[in-house]
Amino acid sequence: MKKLSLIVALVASVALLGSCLRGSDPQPERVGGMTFVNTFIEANGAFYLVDRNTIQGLYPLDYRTYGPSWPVYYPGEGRRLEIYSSYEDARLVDTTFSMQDSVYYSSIVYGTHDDPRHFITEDRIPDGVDDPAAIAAVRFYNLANTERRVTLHIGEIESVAAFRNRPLETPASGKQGEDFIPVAIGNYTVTVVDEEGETVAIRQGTVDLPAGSYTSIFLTGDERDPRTFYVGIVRQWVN
Amino acid sequence: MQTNINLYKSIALSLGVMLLGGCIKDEETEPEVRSGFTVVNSFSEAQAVQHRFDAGRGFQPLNQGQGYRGIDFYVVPSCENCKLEIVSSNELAQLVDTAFALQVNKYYTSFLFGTEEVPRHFITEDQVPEGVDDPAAIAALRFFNLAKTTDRVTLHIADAEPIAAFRDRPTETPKTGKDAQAFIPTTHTGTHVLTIRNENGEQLARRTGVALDPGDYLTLFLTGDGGESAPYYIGVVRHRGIN
Repeated sequence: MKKLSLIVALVASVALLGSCLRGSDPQPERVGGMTFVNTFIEANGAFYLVDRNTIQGLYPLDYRTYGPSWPVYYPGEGRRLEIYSSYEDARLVDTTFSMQDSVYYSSIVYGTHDDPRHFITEDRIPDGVDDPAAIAAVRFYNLANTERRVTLHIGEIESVAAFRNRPLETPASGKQGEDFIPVAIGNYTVTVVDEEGETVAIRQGTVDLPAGSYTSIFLTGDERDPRTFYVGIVRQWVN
Repeated sequence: MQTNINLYKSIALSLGVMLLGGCIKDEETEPEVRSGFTVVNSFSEAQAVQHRFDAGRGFQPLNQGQGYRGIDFYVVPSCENCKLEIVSSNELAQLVDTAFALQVNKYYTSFLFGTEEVPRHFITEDQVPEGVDDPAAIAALRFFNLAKTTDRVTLHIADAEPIAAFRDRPTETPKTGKDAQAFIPTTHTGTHVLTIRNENGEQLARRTGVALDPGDYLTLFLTGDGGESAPYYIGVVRHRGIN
């Protein structure tokens, strides 16, 4: 009888005390990580490796897509990033990056097999913004294999300097253009025109830029076939 | 009660059979001895070829057919008197019928090239270059001209001065191929553009983005005949293992 009550006491204390542990501590929230954007037109897809490990969903990542749906978090210094083309396994990128906690990054690959290009942006809320959820902000890249300088038009909004006459990005110009620029909240027709005013590509339908949205808009495609020009939109995580 | 005793007897009997069965020597599995065997198809005159391999138990197909420019890796039983037969998809013509030895835990590569009239074939032993302490710390290359061409060809890696063994190579014979089986170490690691030029400096083929990292052992080869159906092409074999 004594034994039984001891067992009951033990079970009861485990069961009751166990519940004390649950949920009371706040779970540290994982913020930060990298989104991968594939605008490399010369292959159907690209294979991504970080420190020689594949990334689920990015093996391969198709042209004109981005992923994974939740940014991948690789804290630390000197991470090796390799990107291989689905064509002949050509290595497009072999670089290292460092990732800090609480920062979102984007890896953007573009160019050609002869001249593959890549840069990594830090995706931040613009300076001096009190309420990040109250504004919409945009950045624009020319990632198309073209000699033309292109300008982004968001509806009838006066185009800001950063969206005007952009030549094909270099890794340096891409990195410099990483800042998001606040624009008026709204629903817009988005077009990209060249320096002659000729339309290069129109985004089908309208693009919604609601409050709290941070959007990369880019031109991709190749001059050798003008039908390939396309306005890409990536909703970004920012911090 | 009688049935119970019978039941126990039969249980004891079957248990005995099962347990003693384990003692019978013949049933023990032989330790498997294996070799690595890469097969490369540079034979442009057929859509595909089939490799049939005999490790002493009769010919068995290694694959259902390997397309032109295909590179496949197999782990096969080691054997003193291995036989390999390669059959073309054109009327199942036999292109190769050869015998050789494959030692345990060693790596080999079979190269098929040439024409239907003169099919050519050689098997390399894939070895770490001599005097190398740490095979994972270096990268090494070898180059074969397996194309149907009268040109002598040179392999250029980026803008570097071509390696002597990669210069002015005529189409291999089985002998020249075998003689050139040694991997040549290079410190020139990174991502390279390869070009192959003939003796007039004319570019025959080009390949971008060839990754060469420490620990990589590559065979580079020229294949094709420069025609429309088989343009010149640079093949890259990434060796899974070397000895």
